Amino acid sequence: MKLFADDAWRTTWNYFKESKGGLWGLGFLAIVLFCVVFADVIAPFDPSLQNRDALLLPPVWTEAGHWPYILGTDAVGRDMLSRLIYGARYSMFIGFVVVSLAVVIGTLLGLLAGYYSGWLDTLIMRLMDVILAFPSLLLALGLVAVLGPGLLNAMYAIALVMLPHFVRLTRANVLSEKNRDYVVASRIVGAGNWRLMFNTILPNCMAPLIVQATLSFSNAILDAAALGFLGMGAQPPLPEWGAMLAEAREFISRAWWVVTFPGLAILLTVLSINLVGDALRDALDPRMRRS
Amino acid sequence: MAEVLRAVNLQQEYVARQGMLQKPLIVRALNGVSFSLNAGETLAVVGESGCGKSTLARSLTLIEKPSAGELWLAGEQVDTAHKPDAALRQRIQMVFQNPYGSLNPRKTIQQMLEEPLLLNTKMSGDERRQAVATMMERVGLRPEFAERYPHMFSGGQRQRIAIARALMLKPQVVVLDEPVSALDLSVRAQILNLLTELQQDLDLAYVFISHDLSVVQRIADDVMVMYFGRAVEYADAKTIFSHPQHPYTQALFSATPVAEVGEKRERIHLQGEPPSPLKPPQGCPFGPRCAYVQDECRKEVPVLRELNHALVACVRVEAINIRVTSLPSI
Amino acid sequence: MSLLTVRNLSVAFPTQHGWFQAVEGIYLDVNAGDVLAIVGESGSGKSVAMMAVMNLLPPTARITCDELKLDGQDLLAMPPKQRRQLNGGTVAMIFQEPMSSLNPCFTVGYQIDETIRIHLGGSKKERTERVLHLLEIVGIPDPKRRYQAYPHQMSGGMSQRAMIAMALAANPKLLIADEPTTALDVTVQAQILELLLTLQQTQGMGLILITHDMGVVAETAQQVVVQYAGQQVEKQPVKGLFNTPHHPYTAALLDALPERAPAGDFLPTIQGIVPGQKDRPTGCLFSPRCTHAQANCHKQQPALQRDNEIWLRCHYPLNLKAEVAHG
Repeated sequence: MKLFADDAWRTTWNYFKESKGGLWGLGFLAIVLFCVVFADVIAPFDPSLQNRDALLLPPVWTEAGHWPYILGTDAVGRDMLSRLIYGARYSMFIGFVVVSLAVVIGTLLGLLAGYYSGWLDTLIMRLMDVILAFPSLLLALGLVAVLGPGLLNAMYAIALVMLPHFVRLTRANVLSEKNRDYVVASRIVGAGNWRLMFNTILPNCMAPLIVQATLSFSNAILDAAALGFLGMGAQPPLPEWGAMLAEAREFISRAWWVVTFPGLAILLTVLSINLVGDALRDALDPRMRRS
Repeated sequence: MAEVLRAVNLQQEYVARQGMLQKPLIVRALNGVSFSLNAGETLAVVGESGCGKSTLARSLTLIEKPSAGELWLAGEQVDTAHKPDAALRQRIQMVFQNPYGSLNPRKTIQQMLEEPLLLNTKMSGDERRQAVATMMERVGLRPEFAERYPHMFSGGQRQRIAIARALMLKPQVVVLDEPVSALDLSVRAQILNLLTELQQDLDLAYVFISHDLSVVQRIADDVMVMYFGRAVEYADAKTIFSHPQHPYTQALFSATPVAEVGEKRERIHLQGEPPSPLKPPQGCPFGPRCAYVQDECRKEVPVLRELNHALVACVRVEAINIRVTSLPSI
Repeated sequence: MSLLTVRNLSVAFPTQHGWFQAVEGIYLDVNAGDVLAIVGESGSGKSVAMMAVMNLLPPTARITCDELKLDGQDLLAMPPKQRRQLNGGTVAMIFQEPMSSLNPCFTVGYQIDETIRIHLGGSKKERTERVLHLLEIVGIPDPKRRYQAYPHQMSGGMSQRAMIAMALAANPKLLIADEPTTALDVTVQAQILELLLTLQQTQGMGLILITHDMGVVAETAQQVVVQYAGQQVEKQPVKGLFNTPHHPYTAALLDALPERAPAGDFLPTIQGIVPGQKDRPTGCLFSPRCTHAQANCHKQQPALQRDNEIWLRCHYPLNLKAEVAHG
């Protein structure tokens, strides 16, 4: 199923290029992706390797710093830089899996709700309303408490909390598209309900979903970091950035680098994704209006 | 000439909910429409918004099954009891009004044109490609454009694609819902010529819905004027244009501007607006706006009766037409 | 005195592929009491030209004009604030889609009142009286109740009447109607056109009617301007235009009308399509489609020439000798 015309991608890219923020964000994300793929090659150390002789070493540019621990070490002597690089894998993994789950299930539910309307619509939307009524982090915490702490469970919980946004978005688009002439035309030539939903209507709802997905990516990372910070997400010794923050709580005053760098990593990644998402939204929307 | 389409007393109702506490209202969008159409002929359905012509189009193509009445396609009854199936789709198809909304923006022409074949025949991929190319040439499009998307085409070209799509299954009847209204003047003639050509070559029957009387006068064999879900006048084109009998038909013709500069025409002034289907008037639905309305008009809804080679739904036709001396012909 | 004088108006928009010339070389003279129709198909720039006169185009548009005078005032030299005052006061515009031209959040009465408040002032009582009076003259029944109505509670014809009332509220001298009846049923169209002409006569306004419907032009206009691909190709009194069109485009357009075409199965057509941004021909813009085109039509763009009431942009106009012979 081709989502966009070929020249649509090119036009989108042309508009995307106009956003400086979007390009910077894309650049940083490229670095992160590089880390994800080549972590084994570029990380100076194994992330769980503990060195008793190099506990809480500050970054290399300070007085007490020591090469090759470029960004210093943590309380048990693990290299910060290596942990950050490997941590990128977890963040990207989290974001990708969570968003995929939320998008696939959310789009399906939204399609069903918008297309069939009636009691199915009511059922699905009220379910979503219930989920939305809870503060998202609280709901995730509650789910993790039930399922047991761990990264995977945290991800399921976050995906559930994100579901309503995609359901609503898809449903709104389906409602506005399903009475269009081209849908009726497909019906006249014999398209059944499933074909109409997935083959005819869905491709026309993709643009806002893509934008929402990029923004949810960053939310997923933040939520996972928050859960990790609370001890309910990734468990040590996983170098997930949020968990790293949690472990570093007690060192805020005496070893700032143990806290700052994971925090910075989260901040920059989330910022980049948001910039890309914004630029993408602008590129996909006014394109309709400009020419 | 073979009869390919017959509608007998078609009715279509919608339920209008009035909130949780009140009883739902039944809205009659189609209130008993009957006509017959032969191969190679064009029936024009004329009327303004709210008259039910769009509902008629949807009922004929069975997008919505009519609430009551009979529909016969090529001698076979297909209405309320039947589910639209492949056989049916190969008999009747539709072309929509808006060339910018009737084509899926995310599909190539190839995908759109082969969809009917994919869903209804067992043709192979190559056969389908060939059929699409042949059809594109038939409607005046270059086959190499098959991989393009709708937004790359002009309004007239899109309408050609829509016509091609309607013809992929080789139907006998094509319902055209205002097919040229949204097109530029210079393009309209091209599309109308194409439709005429196709009709002659393929012996197609057209149900041509339009509010543009100059177009209707050109291409229609029979004309049915609709008002408030009913046919108020039904005659062959020549008769109806030379001698319209129903007051609404007369007003409609009179209101249509003509591209000739001459004496200021005697206009029939129609006051007010069409009634709301939620509050149907007593008796003749045109009564409230009719210049000739009398008490007898409010007694009951007039039925179509034969008068001067036409079917007219008006109880006072004879009285009216003695008064109106001359009406400008278009 | 001339109400509106336009000399050499051109409008261009910036796009991804460079500047798009939407309007090129428009010359108009409209006096009080005139009815001018501007006819053209899509891409002719007829709406854009009038929006430029009213200064309603986005700031990215590049508008050039030799002369633009409204009611004796020079619009080009006017500061923007003063120019804004003219809209609604001296010149008013009504649009095609009445349902989307009225603000759905406010009552009809409030919107008409707004115009009066800005341009004429007066106490609330005086303004309300005027609104009710306006609703009456545009033929809206039960004005007191309709004052409180919202746009979605009114039909298309009713909404258009409300828009006309809004346009007339401040007694404009010039009314520009951009396809006012295209979205309406034909019987309602007849009512609205009749209303416009009546009001135009009683108020002594100038009326510019933008349309693509030649029937409407024939029955309402005194003067007609034909636009093609942004250019003004012909301007004539209405009778002359329909009986002896001078520009091949006008002639071809009239021939393609179903009611004027000779009997037979097929209608005469104009081959090709209106040039877009990327395929603007050198020479006359209509030359690729013109059946009377000669060699230099493809090389050199014809200039707009004037002969009394006839303006023409063509190297080899039709029917001209006959016209000249009749004086």
